[in-house]
Amino acid sequence: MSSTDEDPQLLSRRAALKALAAVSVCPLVASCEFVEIKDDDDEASTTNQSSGNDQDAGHGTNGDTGGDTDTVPVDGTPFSLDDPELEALSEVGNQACFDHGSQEVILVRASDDEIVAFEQVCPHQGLPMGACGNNTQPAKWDQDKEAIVCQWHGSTFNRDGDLIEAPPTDSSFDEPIRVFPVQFDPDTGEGYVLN
Amino acid sequence: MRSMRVLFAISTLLLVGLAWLPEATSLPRMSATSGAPCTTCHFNSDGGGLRSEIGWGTAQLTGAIDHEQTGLSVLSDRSTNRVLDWMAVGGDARIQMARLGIPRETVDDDGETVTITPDREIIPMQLQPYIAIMPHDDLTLHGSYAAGPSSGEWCSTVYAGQTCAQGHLTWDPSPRVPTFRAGLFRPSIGMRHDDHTMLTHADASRPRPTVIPPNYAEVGVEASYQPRHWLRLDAGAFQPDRLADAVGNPEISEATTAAAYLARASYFPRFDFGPDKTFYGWVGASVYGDVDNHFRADQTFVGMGWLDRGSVMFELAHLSFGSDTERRALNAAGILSVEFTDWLVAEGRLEQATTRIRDVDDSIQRRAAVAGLQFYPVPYLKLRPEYRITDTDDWTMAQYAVQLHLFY
Repeated sequence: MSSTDEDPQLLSRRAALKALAAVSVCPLVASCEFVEIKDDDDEASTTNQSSGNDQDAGHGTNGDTGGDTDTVPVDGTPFSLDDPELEALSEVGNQACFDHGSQEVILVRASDDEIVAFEQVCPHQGLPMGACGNNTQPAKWDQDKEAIVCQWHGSTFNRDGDLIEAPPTDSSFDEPIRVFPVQFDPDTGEGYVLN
Repeated sequence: MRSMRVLFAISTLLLVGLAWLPEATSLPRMSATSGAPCTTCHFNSDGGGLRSEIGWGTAQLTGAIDHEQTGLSVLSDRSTNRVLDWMAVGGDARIQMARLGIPRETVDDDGETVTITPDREIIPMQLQPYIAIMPHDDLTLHGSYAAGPSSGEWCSTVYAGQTCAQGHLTWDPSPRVPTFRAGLFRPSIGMRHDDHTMLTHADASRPRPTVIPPNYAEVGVEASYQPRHWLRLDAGAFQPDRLADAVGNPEISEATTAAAYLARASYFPRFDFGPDKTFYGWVGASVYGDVDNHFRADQTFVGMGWLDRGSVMFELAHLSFGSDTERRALNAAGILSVEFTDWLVAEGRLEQATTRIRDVDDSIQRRAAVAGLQFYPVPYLKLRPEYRITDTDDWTMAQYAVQLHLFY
């Protein structure tokens, strides 16, 4: 190795110093860092977040727009509580696995007139949360906290998807889970999961 | 002396001022560029972890400034990492600065959609001591413990499948017979990259795509046989408890007959084209999965190294998650490293992970392009500044990151 050979190392050090200097400048070039959210469903995404805020204020979009289900949402996946696989949602606090396009989501009957849809993969370690397939540890809905609790490591997310309790084994974890907006008509038991 | 001061200034700048990145530990670069097996420098036959006397001694000589120049010659007085004739110790400690997490959009109070970029954080990411006890020339008892420095817990795994404590017994009686390992250790899957950001073992459909993370380990036995310098064969059997957790399918470990198998074959060709023109190749394939076929990872890898110059490696992995979860992943990685000198190496890699879900037309993809340096300002200290672009179907993020790695 060249570390024992002084002359070649001095030459290489000069070359290396130039490389180091170039790299040292990089942090100053803040524009090299960027974030881009891909927006093929941008409007729907905005609607999603707005719905979440409304729910926070106690005026859940789910209930408010329940009567709008005659209008078929462009990006919605329809569901009905008449579907045998979703009949668990007839009772508040229950959940069911649902195919929303290419994604599996967890539908939770949060109240008489509300259904909340969570991404079914926990962002903590990427493990399945939903009662889908053969998952023997589906997440549980905590009615008091109005939050879903991942049974793998205990991550707890509120109805807006925000993490409210990190796993006891990983207190540094702090990521939200995706929540999909839902239009639901409790009278007909039909609704849509939106993007 | 002036150049030394400049080097110190740059080192300090890198230490204090740089603000960057992700996790990475052992890469097979060293083996590829030297043509030497991993055990030349590590106790672990797959590389990484506690260094052998040769590995430790090489590290002692690797630095832009040696210990005598820093006035710490006491550190270079030692000639071995053995604290007793029959005991060696070592460790890895890492701190990283990076934007952790994924970007997302939200709506502010004015109803405007805003993009939330993950905050830059400095976190201790690894604190892992090692010990090797050699009660007999043929036997080595190796142990390590990965503490959870970022959480303040003694044991805090971040990824499913990881374990804090590992330990295994190695029986290596002679080069003419296989070496056996038994205990709790990482199976010899593909090429070993102790880097959770690598996409080789990833499922792009997961928010955190890593399936087989660093410090993944199973209880089992493994035999490694290198009858010629150019051929190595590995075979093993394991109890797949952590694999079930890592894959997210409890069925993998539920059956009373649950077991995981490993097979790997590696060919190490050598090409001599004259003085200073010796190239070392590495071609191999491995398969790792559970006997009930809930998960299987098939990998092929090929690499070429040029001593003290650099290396290029490619790896292709196909992960199948069985009929129950209905997912398949096809992942590829290319890694190029260029050695300016032994204490400064530039490295770049391109990766792509693609997951297909049965009955779904569109695949889910994740790509990464990474360029960085491995800089050893003094022996046993490494800085890894990186620039990383991660691209998924939902977002793209580019960031700087830096990792400070103390090892012994």
